[in-house]
Amino acid sequence: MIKYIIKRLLLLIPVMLGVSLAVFTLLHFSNGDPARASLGQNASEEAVQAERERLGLNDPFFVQYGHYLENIVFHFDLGESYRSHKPVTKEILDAAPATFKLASLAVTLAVVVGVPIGIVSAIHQYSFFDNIMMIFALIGISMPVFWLGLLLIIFFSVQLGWLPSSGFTHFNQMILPSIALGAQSVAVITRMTRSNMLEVIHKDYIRTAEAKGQKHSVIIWKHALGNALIPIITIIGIQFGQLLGGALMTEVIFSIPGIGRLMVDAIKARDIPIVLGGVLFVAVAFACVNLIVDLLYAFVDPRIKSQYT
Amino acid sequence: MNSKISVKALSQNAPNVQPTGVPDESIYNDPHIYDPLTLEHAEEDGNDRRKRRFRRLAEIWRRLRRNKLAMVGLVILAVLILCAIFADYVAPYKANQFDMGALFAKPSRQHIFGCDNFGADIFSRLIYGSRISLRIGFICVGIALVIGVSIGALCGFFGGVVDIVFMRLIDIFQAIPDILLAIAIIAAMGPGLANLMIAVGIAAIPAYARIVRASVLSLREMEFVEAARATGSNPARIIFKHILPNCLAPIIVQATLGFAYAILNAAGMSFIGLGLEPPTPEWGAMLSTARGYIRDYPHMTLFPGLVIVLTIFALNVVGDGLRDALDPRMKR
Amino acid sequence: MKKHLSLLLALLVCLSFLVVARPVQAEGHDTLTVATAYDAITLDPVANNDSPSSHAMHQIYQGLIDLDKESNPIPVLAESWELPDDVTYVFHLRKGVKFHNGEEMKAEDVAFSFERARKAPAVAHIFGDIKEGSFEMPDDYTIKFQLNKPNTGFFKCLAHASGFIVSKKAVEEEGEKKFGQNPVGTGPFKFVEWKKNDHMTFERFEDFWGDPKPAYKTMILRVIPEATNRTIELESGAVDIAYELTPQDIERVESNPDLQVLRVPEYSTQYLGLNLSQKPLDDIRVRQAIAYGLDMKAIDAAVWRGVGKAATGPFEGSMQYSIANDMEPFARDVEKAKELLKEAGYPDGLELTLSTNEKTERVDMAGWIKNMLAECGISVKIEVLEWAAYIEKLESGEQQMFQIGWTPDAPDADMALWPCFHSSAKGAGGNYVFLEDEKVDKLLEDGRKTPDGEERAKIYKEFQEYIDELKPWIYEHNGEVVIGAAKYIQNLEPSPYAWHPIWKVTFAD
Repeated sequence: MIKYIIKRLLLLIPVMLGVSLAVFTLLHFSNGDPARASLGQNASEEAVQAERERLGLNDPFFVQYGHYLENIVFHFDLGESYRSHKPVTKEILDAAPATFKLASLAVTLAVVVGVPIGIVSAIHQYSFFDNIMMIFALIGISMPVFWLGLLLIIFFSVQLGWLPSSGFTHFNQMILPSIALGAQSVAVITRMTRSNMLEVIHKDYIRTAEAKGQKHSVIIWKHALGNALIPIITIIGIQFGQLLGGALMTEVIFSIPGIGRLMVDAIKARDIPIVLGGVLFVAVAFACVNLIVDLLYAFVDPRIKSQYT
Repeated sequence: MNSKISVKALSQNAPNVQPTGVPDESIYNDPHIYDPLTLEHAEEDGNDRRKRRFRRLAEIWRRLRRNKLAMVGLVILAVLILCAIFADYVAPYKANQFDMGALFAKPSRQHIFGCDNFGADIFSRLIYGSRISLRIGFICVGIALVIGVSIGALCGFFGGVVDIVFMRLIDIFQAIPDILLAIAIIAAMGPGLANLMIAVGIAAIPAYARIVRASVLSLREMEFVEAARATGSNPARIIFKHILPNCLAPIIVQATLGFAYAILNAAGMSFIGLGLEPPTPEWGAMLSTARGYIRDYPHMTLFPGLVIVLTIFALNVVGDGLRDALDPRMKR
Repeated sequence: MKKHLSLLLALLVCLSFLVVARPVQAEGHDTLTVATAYDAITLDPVANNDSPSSHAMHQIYQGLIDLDKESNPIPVLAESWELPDDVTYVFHLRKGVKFHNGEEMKAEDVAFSFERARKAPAVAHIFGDIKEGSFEMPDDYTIKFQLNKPNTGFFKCLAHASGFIVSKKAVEEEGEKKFGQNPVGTGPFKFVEWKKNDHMTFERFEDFWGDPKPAYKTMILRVIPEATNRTIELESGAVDIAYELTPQDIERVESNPDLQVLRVPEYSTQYLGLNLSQKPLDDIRVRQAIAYGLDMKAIDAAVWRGVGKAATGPFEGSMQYSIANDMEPFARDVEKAKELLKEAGYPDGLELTLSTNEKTERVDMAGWIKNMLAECGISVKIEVLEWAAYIEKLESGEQQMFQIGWTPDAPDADMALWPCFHSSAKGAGGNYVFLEDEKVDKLLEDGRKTPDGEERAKIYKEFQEYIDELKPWIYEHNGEVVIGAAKYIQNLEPSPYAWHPIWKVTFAD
């Protein structure tokens, strides 16, 4: 198992090198002078030249990229923000907890609401409950997070005045953003759970169990759910990645100080080091989530465990 | 012509190439469960092929028609496309017809969806906006389709170094959540409609590449392909004439859902201020403007959002419907 | 089992919707919480020149002088001063002023702070004119320095945030770069914590020299970019003060018995710039045609809806020497505009690009401008750029029409006009219309070196009338500071620069 984790982590290295090179290249050749961005519009031409020298912008491309990598690997240093002159690592680590809290809450909501609805829908296929829930799920999938967020603010903050519409310190500030962000995942997971359960329920061994006269609930929980869970876990992993992207909009709507807002602000201000660092950081986080999901697989499905040698 | 028999014959020769990937993709990657009517025959003539294609389309349409939700979706899409084409006749006002006397007008008989901060008719702007959104959808899907399918086909067909290099590239792209990738591209190229479409399109490439590669891998060794190779057809001809037609189904489904995704992503980018700017009548940009007036003029938020949801809903149910119609396993 | 499952489900759904939360109440009156629109960029006085940063710094730093409501200098860290000639400045410092780190403020701190400012690119336009190596410190409480050239407006700039006095020891200990994250000044509040994009916390500095001392212990500046959200938080009591109310929220806050609205005109001037180095805008008839084609008063009313006012001059009317209050907005005359275009050789109209940054009101303005000019036969293409790219474009001189605003760093005509119109400031200096006119240059140079009085007033009056004829700018809008606050908030004095001294706020019971 540990060997497998190490192998996966090692495999991550070339991918991350690729990500960093791709994004570095992309942003390197974007228009705009980082030295001027760093100094502001009132800087003199000499000052800009000196800053270019200091930032190493006059070096050849690969030398610059080399320095960038070297700083990441040996100093855990992603450079310095052009705007605030703070280390990018610090800015990102300051913003990360809010984003992860938000994404985790949304995933939790999606699982806690989506899985049970999916199961009940599957058991009572084509019932009234099932039909209603499936329509809700379809609408949920089509609902852009930025619109749902606005609707939630209109109802719960403006009309009813129940929940705050900004900030992310108290639990009540986290409710609306989590619902806005999680709704789509609730829908996706409901649909996946339902279709997987349906597939499993109609399999032979379930019929056998039924024929043997086992209690219905035991069949559902012990046999069916266990087997239906595996694809659901994959979807949760994929959803988590999607949520990291969706969190960006949620953070903008609800004024949450997370990675998304940090990056949107940075792009508007042409603060390249933050954009670069942010993309890298999210890519690593995304990869780690996928690794955890794969490990969970093994936990749920013993057949896969044998492959981890 | 008895195609069922030939499929059986083919499937015995099919190599056991099970691609790794997301589980629910696997139904597309497995040629055996695909509609038997799709598979090509080395010896048939053009006339047979045309007839067979027609019969196949008729069968798919018959299955699709039984899906009520998908039909609702199709009607919505048809209305939307007609609106976009005939916007000049359908819309009661011009998209940028401002009126100082109608600032923020509530919905009324003159302006059924009300007016925005320019006093422009929201209903008309949504209709003109459908042009932009549909264009974004088509071009983004087009970009992703052309590049993704090419990469997938090349990798699957040639294998070896080509495969390794391109698939590692795709891995790299997939390591970044796609909206973030699109944002990074926008950050480098700057905002604007063209850049927006390129960014959203590029971010969608990996899905197509993977689907096509997997299909090609499983089809490559089949009899009819081998036959074509043996007769000395060049690779491009084999890919276009024999392989691609056989993985059309998953591509169509992916393109439909991708269309929805492109519109959603583009609207999202405009919403956070990295896409199109107001006063462009783009749906996401309209919502972005409306956000500032959410308490006093909720109609500005309500209607553009409804139209987005309706469009995405339609594309999703049509995509779902197509998936079922193209997948013979789902026959009820 | 089935029943249980459904029950559980129903419960969960209900729970997730019914978590009704009470709004967070302002905790006693020991804490002041303020909702700001933008986060500061730095807390180092010379690292950047932007108003959110300046606002925060005004609570923790002080300068040698400050300006009262009539823009007269008042002593702060300097008790008195002399100007022996037109380039020499001598300040006698207040004794016993403590920095937040416990050190006493002395002349070497002032020299150190000004030397940093002199070399800092972000504020070079304010402090760059100090003569290198001219600092003299006869004793610990006296500082003397010189400028390269006479500059009447310089003195008032000492009240600007970039002239704030920092602790030399603290900067040397922290390092130049890190100082912005751990600032040490002499102000009434000291820095505690900064969570980027969320909030900044300050605490009362108990050894503050001034009198009276702040009436409360903790100051929290929350960042809430969405105007709607700021107002909601103000209404629910989660914040005591909310900045930048939108027009539609003003009425709502005014009609709320627990809240109040404070307003003061801002010193900013927004304008539509016409780049004279680009054809066909070098032709004065084309510029006049554009001016005749626009009804800026109506546009102002539609976009700003009662906040601020339509601008009538190159700098705000309440500032010294401005004649804007005696001028009327330009009246629209579409026929006249068409006629002028025909005269200039464009009988079939012409095409122009209007560049703007993404600020909402500016984009809205651009929409109206496009709309109105279309009626005169000028078809306008709007180009929206993000801020850094936008400034780069303006400096390059490739723009045709563009929209931007200028807020002078000090209430002086020279500070307001020189950077925008003098030929030496073309491009990066701030003269984005690329105006190069001998008469303009001459008037600005005279104005800069002439001491305050009748003669200076005459120079600037002539300048404003001349600029009005030249039409490099179509004046758009003068801003207004609009603050919402709880009724119990007292002594809140909004500043026309949006650097509100909220440390002076007291609470009524």
